[in-house]
Formats: sequence, C-alpha cells, structure tokens
Amino acid sequence: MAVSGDHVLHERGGDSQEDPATSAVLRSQVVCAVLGLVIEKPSHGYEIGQRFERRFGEFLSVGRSSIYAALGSLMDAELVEKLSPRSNTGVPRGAKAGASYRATAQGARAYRGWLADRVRNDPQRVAMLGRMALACVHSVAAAMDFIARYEQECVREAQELARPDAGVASGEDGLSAVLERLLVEERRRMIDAQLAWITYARAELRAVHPRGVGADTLR
Amino acid sequence: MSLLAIEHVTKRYRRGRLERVAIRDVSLEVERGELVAIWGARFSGRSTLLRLAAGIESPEQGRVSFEGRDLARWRNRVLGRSIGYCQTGCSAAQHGLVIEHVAAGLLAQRALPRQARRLGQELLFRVGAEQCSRLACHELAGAEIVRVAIASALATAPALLVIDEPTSGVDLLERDPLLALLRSIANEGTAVLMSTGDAQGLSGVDRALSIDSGELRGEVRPAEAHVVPLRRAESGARRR
Repeated sequence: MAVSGDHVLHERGGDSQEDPATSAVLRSQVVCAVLGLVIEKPSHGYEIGQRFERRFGEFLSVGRSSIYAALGSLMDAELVEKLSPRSNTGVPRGAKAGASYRATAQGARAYRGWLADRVRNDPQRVAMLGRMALACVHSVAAAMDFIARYEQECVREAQELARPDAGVASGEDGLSAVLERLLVEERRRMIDAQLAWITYARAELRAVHPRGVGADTLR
Repeated sequence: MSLLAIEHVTKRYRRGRLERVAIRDVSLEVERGELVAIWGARFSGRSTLLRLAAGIESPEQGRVSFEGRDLARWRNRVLGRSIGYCQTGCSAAQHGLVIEHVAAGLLAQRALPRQARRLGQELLFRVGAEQCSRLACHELAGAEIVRVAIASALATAPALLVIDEPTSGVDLLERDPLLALLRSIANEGTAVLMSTGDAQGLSGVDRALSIDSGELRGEVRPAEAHVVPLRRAESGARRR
C-alpha cells in the first residue's frame, strides 16, 4: 500500500518502538483497517466507511458507528488527525462531508510496523500449534490422519483463493490489480510449501511404518 | 447418472518381478459442466487416474463408466469424441501447421477440408490462440501449446475434457489466464477433469481432490469451506 508524502506528515525520526498506547489501539483489526484507508487517502468519515465496505466488507462486518469509533481511537493515539479547513489536500468538501482525516507520521510508521509484524512468519504460533498437534498424535495412523486433515485444509484454501483477474490495466487501478495478484500468489506459494511438506511428511511416516499403520507408537 | 463414474478402481504397473500400485481403490464421479482438479505430487498417481478417466488405460479392478456405459468396452467410440484428452506438450512434437493439427480431428469426423479449417480457426479463436494458426507446431511457446492442445480436444465438442497438468511448462503470468479458459469451458457445459501439482491449479475449481500413493484423499467442496477467501471465487457465475 503506497504511502504518499502528500498524505502524511513528514516523519520526524526517533525511536521506532511502538508505545503501549499505540499497540493497544492497533489490537483491533477494524482500527488497523481504518488506519490503512486513511493512510492511503485522506478522507471524510463517510467516504472512509464506504471504502471500508468495499475493501474489507467481505472480512469485517461493522456499522458506520464503528468506523467513527475507530477514527476516535486513532485520534486519541495521535495516529490520525483532523485536517484543518484550509488544508490543500484535494479532499472534497460536500455538504455532508463533515470532518476529514489524515494519518500522522506516527500513524504511518505504526501501520507499517503492524503490517510487517503480521506478514512475517510467526514461529511462536507455529511452535504452539505444533505442540498442540503433538497432544493428539500418538501413532503413525493418527499422524497420517492429522496430515490428511492438514492437507485438506491446504487444498481447501487453495481452491477458495480467487483466481486474480489477468487483464493488464494502467494507473492506480492497474497497480491495485497487480498488488492483489501478488497477495494471492503469496498465499498460493505458502500453500505450495505446505503441500510439499505434507508429501515429505508422508514419506517420512511411511519409512517409519510402510503399511498397515495400526497403533505403532511414535514417541 | 453421472457423466463419468470411477468405481473402486485399482491399477498396477509391473516391471519384471516388481509391481507398483499406481491407483488403489479410487472412486470418483464427475458431473456435466463441472471443473474438477486432482492435486498430487509427482508419482502420486494423478496422471494414471486421468488416463483411466479418459479410457486410455483400463483398470485391473473396478469400473470406469462414461454416460453410464463401461468405458473399457466403449472407449473406441468415445475417446476422441465425447471425451477429449489433452496431454500438454504433445503439440510441440507434431509436424505441420497448427491449423492443420486442430483440423485433423474434424477431418477424422469426416468434415470437409474447408469446413474443418473454418471450424479449426473458430476453435483457436475460442481458446485465444488464433494468432498461432499459421505457425508450425514446434514454434509454439508453453501456453500456446496448451491452448492449441485444448482446441484440438474441443474439435469434437466433447462432454468431458481431460487435461493433464495444464500449467506445466507455462510461464507464471500465463497460468491464470489458461486456468480461466478451463473454467469458462466448464461454464459452457463441458466437464473438465485436470491434474495439477501446485496450488494455483486449484483456484476456483468446483471440486479439489488430492491424491497420494494412488489413493484419493478427502474431497473438498466450496460449500464446506470455512476459510475466508481473499476474494470469493466467481461461484455466482458458474453453471449448474
């Protein structure tokens, strides 16, 4: 997501660590989604609500009041600010427009940090899931069953991923389409890696017990 | 009655005294206009399953029926007619022009040469390969080879198109348009049974199955899904 210099204040540098108040605000997905929209383009609350619905409506079902509540939280944490009436940012001022919002440098920085944190692998989560899996896997048969379920989930997710539009467009729309394709492709490659692991895991388990798995104990 | 029904099929290959079970007690049904993908790693049995489904090979145990008739007995009547089989990459080894290759299937159906060429052009246009018409088969690039192979298979207006690894050897950016073509063929009523070795081939299919060591694993239908997609597949635009 592009963060234009016109849309946010210049970063002042300093400590890149998130303060606890910022972390607390960014625990809400709705708040993070709203912050992303404001960073993308300074807008009035109503317009943010419309863009939220278009962009995230499929994942997050929230009312208009939640959008304003999110903007309020972001303002309290100084991640977003109201634009001054004389600000020259090109935000339309219709009769229903109300106040318009833009991200602060702190908001843009916090959002980037939040996003990077979610995009990267989370080894702690994986380790925890692994330990949770161990609790129910005591035999080769159970391990095979666990892997089969895992595979089913991978295949299911791959199937559910929409095939991105392949057309080449230009301008910002074109870039959005490319970014969407990249996101889908990122997920697909993750699934490919998971499926490759499943193939490997089955081979390993078969080496432990070639056929007729039964109740052999793994541990 | 299903268009294609594979019932408890087993297939073994023997080499000397060694025996390998390629397909083990597999059952599967494919309906008209359905797009079904079989995911599996190499040597998982996915290509064997497709050859059995197309009637190219016969099972040792079990039964494969097409439109209710035993494929083992009727395959000479349906393969290359009601069943189109695409082994991608075959076109590159063919001699002659692409249009001649596509028209060959129509000539075999006793179409007049001029009529066969005209229909061949239409099929190439349908699959987005009209620009390849006057090229020699060995001049085709990866995605073009697959498109031409699909056009050839569609020449007899089959009810079932079986295609083995359509995206193999195809440039990354050309894979999705190719898969979208298969989706559109299914939407028009021709069932498509394909194999794939990657997640990309599973996007937007009606049913995705996985195969491992010749055994078909759990079937996944979109209605059962609870994973939130990035964007819902175009299920609303589908046939059926």
